[in-house]
Amino acid sequence: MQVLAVDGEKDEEARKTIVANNNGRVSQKWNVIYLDKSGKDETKGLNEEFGFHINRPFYMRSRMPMKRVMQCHGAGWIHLNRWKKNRNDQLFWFDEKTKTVHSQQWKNYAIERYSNGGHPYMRATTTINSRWW
Amino acid sequence: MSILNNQDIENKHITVNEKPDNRISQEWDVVYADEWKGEPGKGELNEEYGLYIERPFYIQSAMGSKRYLEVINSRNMVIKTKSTVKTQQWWFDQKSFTIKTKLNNQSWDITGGKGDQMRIWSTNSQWYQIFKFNGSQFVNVEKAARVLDVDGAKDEEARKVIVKANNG
Repeated sequence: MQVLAVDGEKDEEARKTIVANNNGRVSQKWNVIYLDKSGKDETKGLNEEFGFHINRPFYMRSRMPMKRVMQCHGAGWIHLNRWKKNRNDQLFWFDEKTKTVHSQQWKNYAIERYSNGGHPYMRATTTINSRWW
Repeated sequence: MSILNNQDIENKHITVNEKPDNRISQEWDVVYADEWKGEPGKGELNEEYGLYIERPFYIQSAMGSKRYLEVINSRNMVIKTKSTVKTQQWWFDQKSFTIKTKLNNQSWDITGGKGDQMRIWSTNSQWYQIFKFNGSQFVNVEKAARVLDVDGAKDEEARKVIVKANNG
């Protein structure tokens, strides 16, 4: 039996859909959402799956002794730095629409693993494609 | 997410490790800005470290003679009879999370992370310089959680002070 599937199991924008042999994987699973039940996108509250409150600024604080926090450096690399009062480049927020974490200083920048996930360093980027990296 | 080379140092890159390894450098807290008032300021209690910030204090041994912690030869930490000298006065520095001497503002140090002798040294905020006070013991932040101890439990003048496994 063949079923509707996402080509190559790639969860990316505008990825084509195909029919393929049933393998039971998530790329072949779908939800039907009726318009009268779909509602609006949430703008606040906890997204339990991702573990973040939506649109609510937060610090990402290390548990190492100095309790440093993540900081965006010039809308680029993300470093570990001491907390400083009123610094928006140390604050982040979760975007419900893209399911990505954004900088509060540069609000259209999301954090990602550099080089499409091919490099271990984290950075901020405006190219938000909601891929795994 | 982790910290490059697992080092708790300013400006280290944030990275993603392929495999979790249970190191604390991979552990984070999400702290919402509207719930966190930030770090305490001068004169306020740092609850995690159990000490007031920049408020000078003495440290008295609980042993029978109630001697005070002192630095001798501008380097080594010992217990001695109480006096008013700066070598017996200490303060907690919020910037470095270290305990410093009023003598020259150097920090407690477990001999650069080697051995067990306590001394004062230039501040670098590495694990071997960071201690928390739990109300009766000064506990090092390393996983072994060694505590400040009088060598050989001998309550004698100028007896050296070391770190040792907690024996209660």
